[in-house]
Amino acid sequence: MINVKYFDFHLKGKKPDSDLALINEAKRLGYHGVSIFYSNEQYNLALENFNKIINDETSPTHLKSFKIDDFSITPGIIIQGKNPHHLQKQIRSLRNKTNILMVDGGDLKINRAACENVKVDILSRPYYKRRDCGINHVLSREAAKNNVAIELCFNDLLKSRNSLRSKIIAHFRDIIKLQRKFHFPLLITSGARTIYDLRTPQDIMALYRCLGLNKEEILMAISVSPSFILDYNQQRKDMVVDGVKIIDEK
Amino acid sequence: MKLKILPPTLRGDKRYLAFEAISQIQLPRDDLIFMIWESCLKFHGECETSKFRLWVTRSWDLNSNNSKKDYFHLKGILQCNRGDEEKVRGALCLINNYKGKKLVFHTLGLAGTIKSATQKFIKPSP
Amino acid sequence: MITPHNIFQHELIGLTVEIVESSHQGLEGIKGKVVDETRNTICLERPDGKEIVVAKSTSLFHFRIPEGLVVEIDGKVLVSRPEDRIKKKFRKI
Repeated sequence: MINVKYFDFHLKGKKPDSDLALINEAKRLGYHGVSIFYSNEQYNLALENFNKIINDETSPTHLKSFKIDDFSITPGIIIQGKNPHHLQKQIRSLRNKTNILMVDGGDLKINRAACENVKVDILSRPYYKRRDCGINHVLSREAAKNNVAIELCFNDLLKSRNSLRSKIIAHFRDIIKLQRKFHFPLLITSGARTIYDLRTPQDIMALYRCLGLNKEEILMAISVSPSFILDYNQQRKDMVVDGVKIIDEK
Repeated sequence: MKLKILPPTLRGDKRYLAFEAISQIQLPRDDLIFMIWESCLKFHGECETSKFRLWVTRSWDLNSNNSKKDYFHLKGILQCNRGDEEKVRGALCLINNYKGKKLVFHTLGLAGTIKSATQKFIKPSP
Repeated sequence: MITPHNIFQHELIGLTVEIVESSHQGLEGIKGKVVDETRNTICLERPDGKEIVVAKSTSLFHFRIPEGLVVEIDGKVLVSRPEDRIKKKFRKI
């Protein structure tokens, strides 16, 4: 069997110590890479901390992603846009600062602005605090065109119960249905704040099998799409326009 | 801003369950919805209930013309996912009390549109 | 002057090119010089003098520009007539 690499693309960062514990736990559970998200203000501080803890001698100081053995840690920025204009301003200023840019969804205008922006990597939880799933066929098509991944957050299931949980599952199903038609990238993440929110990749896969995804789709969401986002963002600085890339050849 | 509604091909199929409820207390719409959801959740669980797409489209209060009776009478139409009608019916018939008072749900019938559900089961034409 | 920033709008005839990926496996690895171009195809002259016609939309090209830089271009970007490509809008990242 091909060696599958599992990624967890949404850990919520707070303090350096607890973050490291979280990352180590994810590593122990069998993930091959995580992405940990901070707000804009905390990002620089977190980056310095990672520099101190992990790559103390060998690598240059302003690396945007880190590695322990084969385990990759990619810090990213999560943006809470107040309105589409504010969001766009933030995206423009933060794009070159970080590897992964995530937009916290929920508001319709924000969802739309995020789906329409090529610079955004992930739209997190479009269904958040909503009575519908937050995206429709129009937004799905935009997201597919601009390669914006839509995130299904496990933490939302974990922290809700009864009818709320059931409704969130229904929103997941709606998003999955749209994904099957429009083929935007889907991401399955944990959204963990503490080590108690983390589950092994196999458990997560089993859970999402129950929600109507099949094995290939889950592998796409937990392994292929994340690694695609990582690769794509490595190349972003060499890209001139979409599809045109400068290659260094000596 | 409102989301543009999905095209009919993506909306998914629906069926309409006409039901009546007879209870010892007045049932506002919110309580009705809560009760149906609660029963479905208890009987089928969260994962299964999420497939049902339950929605109380309309309810008729039938108390005004027979106010002397000691029970409250109510009819309504419940929208659900096609293929899961039997499961919803099963969950509905398990409701027997609410807030300590007795009540009963009867399903009157199943229809493909709201209009036909109303005409056939709620207000049958003479 | 031809640079990586305008190559996708520029005249391609005369550039050396290598086909890196293609849905037709036999075309992969072929090197040559562009001698002609239509809306959907590029005509290459191989070193041995043979000319072949390659569909743009299914291939990935490595163009070598005169300064020595190599630019990777997805053929889908190039699909349009050369004289129309100047007007075409490209999505910036």
